[in-house]
Amino acid sequence: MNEGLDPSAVYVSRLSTRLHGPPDHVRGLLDETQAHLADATDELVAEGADPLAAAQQAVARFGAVDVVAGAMNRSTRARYRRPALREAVTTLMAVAAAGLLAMGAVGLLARAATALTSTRTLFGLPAGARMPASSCNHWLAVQPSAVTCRDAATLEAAADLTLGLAVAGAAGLVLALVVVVMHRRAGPRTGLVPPSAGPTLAVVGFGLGALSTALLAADDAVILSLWGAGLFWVASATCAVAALGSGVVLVRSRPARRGDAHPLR
Amino acid sequence: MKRDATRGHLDVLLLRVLVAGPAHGYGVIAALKRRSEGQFDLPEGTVYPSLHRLEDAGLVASEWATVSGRRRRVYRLTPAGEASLAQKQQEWQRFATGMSAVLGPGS
Repeated sequence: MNEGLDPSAVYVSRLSTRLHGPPDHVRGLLDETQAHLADATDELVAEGADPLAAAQQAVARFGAVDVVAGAMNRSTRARYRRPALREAVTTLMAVAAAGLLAMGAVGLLARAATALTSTRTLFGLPAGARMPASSCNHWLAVQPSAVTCRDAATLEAAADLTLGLAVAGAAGLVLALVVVVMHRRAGPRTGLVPPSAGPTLAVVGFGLGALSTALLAADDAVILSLWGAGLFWVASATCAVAALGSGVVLVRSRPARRGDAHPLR
Repeated sequence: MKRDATRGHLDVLLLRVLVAGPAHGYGVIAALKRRSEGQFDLPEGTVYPSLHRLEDAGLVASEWATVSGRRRRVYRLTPAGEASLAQKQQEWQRFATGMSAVLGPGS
């Protein structure tokens, strides 16, 4: 015990460093502890004890910090396990929805860019792409307007990828709606899943997406023999914008007040 | 009484103490010690999680109030808590009767 300090205050301070859970809940536990120790000390002083000895005895009766913190943390986990799990799932679903919506946006932007440039720019095969004869026959059959195998492959890639990205975007919209409904039905936040978790995941995911697609575009890589460099550039730019937007949300999700960081303050 | 034995029956003991009326944590623990004549010796801080568990189960309700200048959480028994207590008291009576019949002097 630190000499010269109120044993009750020292105990509450030590307990505060061992408790986990939502800040409001932890603050409540500490307030209860503080009031309990004050009551116990007052009673012992009223019985004739020295104030310092009374406070020390009150602390001893309350129990070792590790034992009490362990019991309180078990109770907190039991209370908040389900809502915290729901928050974590909702956060992951929100990030997944953002990713799918970004894919839909890539599809729309790619179509727009195709109108401004050409299908070959966006979906044209990389220079090193090999086209097996059987595939050529298939592409020429399903794309009768194409004259060469390369043109047929390009048109087929444009059709398949645009459809795939549109489906992803639609799925993203549905998932986003589900997330909004879940968010509205949820109770108060537990604080166990920080508000910055979703934006952080999104920044990392979109950032990696922007970097990897930029590298693929710059290298004019062959992916599944179908993807064009132009699409990679569009995807990279979309991911970069999404990462930037997620970064803004992340900054705004940080607690503005310094006092939020510690339950005792 | 050993701590483990006390802990196993803590919930019903806490519910019984609250029959007398709403009380804050220290009041509940003090009443428990007084009524048991000091038999129930638990680290007082570990009683609060039990109160919170009873609250999560809907057997106890609590609200914050300022009493004697201190912010305290005051606990009270809910109707579900009263019903649970009545059931547990019956179970305990049957158990105690059975134990007495076996361990009593006439057995």
